[in-house]
Amino acid sequence: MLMSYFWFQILVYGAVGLAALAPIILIALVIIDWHKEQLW
Amino acid sequence: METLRRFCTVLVVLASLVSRVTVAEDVLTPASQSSSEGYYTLRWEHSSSNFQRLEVSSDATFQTISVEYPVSGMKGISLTGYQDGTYFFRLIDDQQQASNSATVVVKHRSLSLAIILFALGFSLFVVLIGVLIFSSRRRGH
Amino acid sequence: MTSVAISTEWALTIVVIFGLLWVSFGWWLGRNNKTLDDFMLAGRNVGFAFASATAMATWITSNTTLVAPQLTYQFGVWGMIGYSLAALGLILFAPMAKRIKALMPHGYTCGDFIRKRYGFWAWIIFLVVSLCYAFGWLVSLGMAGGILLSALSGLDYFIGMSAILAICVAYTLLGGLKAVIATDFVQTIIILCGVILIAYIGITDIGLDVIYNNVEDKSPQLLNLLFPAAIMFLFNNIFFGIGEIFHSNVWWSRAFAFKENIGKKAFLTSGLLWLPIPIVTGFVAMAAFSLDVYPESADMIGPLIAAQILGKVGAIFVFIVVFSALASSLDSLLAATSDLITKDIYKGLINKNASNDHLFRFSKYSILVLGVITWLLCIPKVATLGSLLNFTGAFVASTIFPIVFGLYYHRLNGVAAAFAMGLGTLCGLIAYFVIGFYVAALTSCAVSLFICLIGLAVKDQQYNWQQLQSEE
Repeated sequence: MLMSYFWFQILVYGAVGLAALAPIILIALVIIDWHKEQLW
Repeated sequence: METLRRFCTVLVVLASLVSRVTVAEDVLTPASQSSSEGYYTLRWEHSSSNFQRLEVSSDATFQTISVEYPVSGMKGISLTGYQDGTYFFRLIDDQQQASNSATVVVKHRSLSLAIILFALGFSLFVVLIGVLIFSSRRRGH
Repeated sequence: MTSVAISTEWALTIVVIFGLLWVSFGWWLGRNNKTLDDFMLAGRNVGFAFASATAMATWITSNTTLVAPQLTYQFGVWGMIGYSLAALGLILFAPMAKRIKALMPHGYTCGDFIRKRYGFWAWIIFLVVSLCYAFGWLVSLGMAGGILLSALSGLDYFIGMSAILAICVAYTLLGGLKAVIATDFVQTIIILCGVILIAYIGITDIGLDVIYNNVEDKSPQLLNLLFPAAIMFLFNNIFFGIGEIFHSNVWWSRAFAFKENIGKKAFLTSGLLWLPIPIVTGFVAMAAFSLDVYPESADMIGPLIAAQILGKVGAIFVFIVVFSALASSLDSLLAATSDLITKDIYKGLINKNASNDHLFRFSKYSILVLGVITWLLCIPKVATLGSLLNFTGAFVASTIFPIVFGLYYHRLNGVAAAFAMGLGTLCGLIAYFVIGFYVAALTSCAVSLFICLIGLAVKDQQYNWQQLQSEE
């Protein structure tokens, strides 16, 4: 039972897309925390 | 005499084309191995020949070559994705000479055993999730 | 891959530059560390952003960047999906992090919890499990560093391994958990940018359809969702991952260090953000069939493809990414293991009256000593030491249920917990040698659960949660 190209695309593009959001999310969170002086 | 000599030359050439004179060293190792996952490694570290490609065949005589891998500059190769079967390998160097042949027998693990282990693991996992959810709720989270 | 992708000079330069960066950062952050709480637990007040970043960075190890492609190359789609499921460890730990902080607002280590909750013998067994795992991970990281640097650049194993260990020991010692967490944040960004770039260029240069078609053509087995070995190993690996996180002081120290009400959100966020990473690093391995390039050994498939796609630049990216991944895990492990040695072994067993100031100084020495021991163990480069980590599956999986039941139920007593961990580990090890590595963690966890259930049924300990907050 082979994984179809459709699902393969969803898997890879989905993963790369989510991973690309990660640094943006993390940097945004740090900036917010820094402004609220809640870093640590 | 001349005809005989020519005839012998042609015979030798034909013979070498058909059988490929093997290199003295038995460099391709391991000579025989089995794989239950379809991946394996072949090495030819102690060799002075300049091997260009690795030929794969389903028959020991290498009558039909199913795949060829470029291996120049390498001392080994790790291959993967093979289905069940017996495969024969040999290296060819830049003088069209062949190394010894190596055999790999691929026999994938039993699917039913795999599914049983998967089911056991899944059940244990469901128990863990259940305990965590139930416990978190109980403690008022 | 015999040809060396980047020059030794470049490699050494990169190591030195990053080394100076991390160490000065660590020194700068450590200037304000006054108390043991500052050093070991970053003042117990880490905010959401740093919390999420550090949990994510620490769980991205060199394995995530090197073994994920290797497993994809060997097991196909299940290789990368299976690896991704290790995120479950972080996600499932999220509610537990909240519970841990609530139960023990002044706790320091997981050893503290086990000792107070279950008593002396469970604590000793737990310490053995923890230290076996910690050293297994330390040595495998130390060796991986040296091996990788030498494979990518020809830099001598001894020099590479020593340099990475020295840098990590230095900034961890100087800055404590604050340095670990702050460098983790920077290292996460570097790692993420690196792997996304390599993946993006792989997709645009080669094309996902080309990658897929070549795999389907030449090695369709890698797209097989019913790949027997992959299915067989799946839950064993998941329980290994869960066991690693549930028991290790690396994660418990974070639960103590994060601000109140941050722990659950942070672990959940980091788990979700970590989930796609093995797929992003893994799928490029499948490009081997499109590029007609095959590795000499499967563990080098990742760097090999990256170098093919991006040339020398690709190799440098891989180098920096893996260096960051190694550092972000090594620093956490050094800090957390030193906490265990300082608080549990030194204060718990040797010098019970040690003051916090004394422990503060001691923990710095223990980081140094840990670094030296790891270095000594890494020198001989015994290959089997690198695979030591696999072995620890039987150990860590036995702690899962004792910890979960211990946190949430007052019924389970110490004797049952001790037996659960001890017998679980033993059965796991037997299964490892008799049947195979792929049943070790599962067996260990199942046996441990069974004993816990007997313990729960047989006796109600009626543990008083207040005891967790009392001083010795």
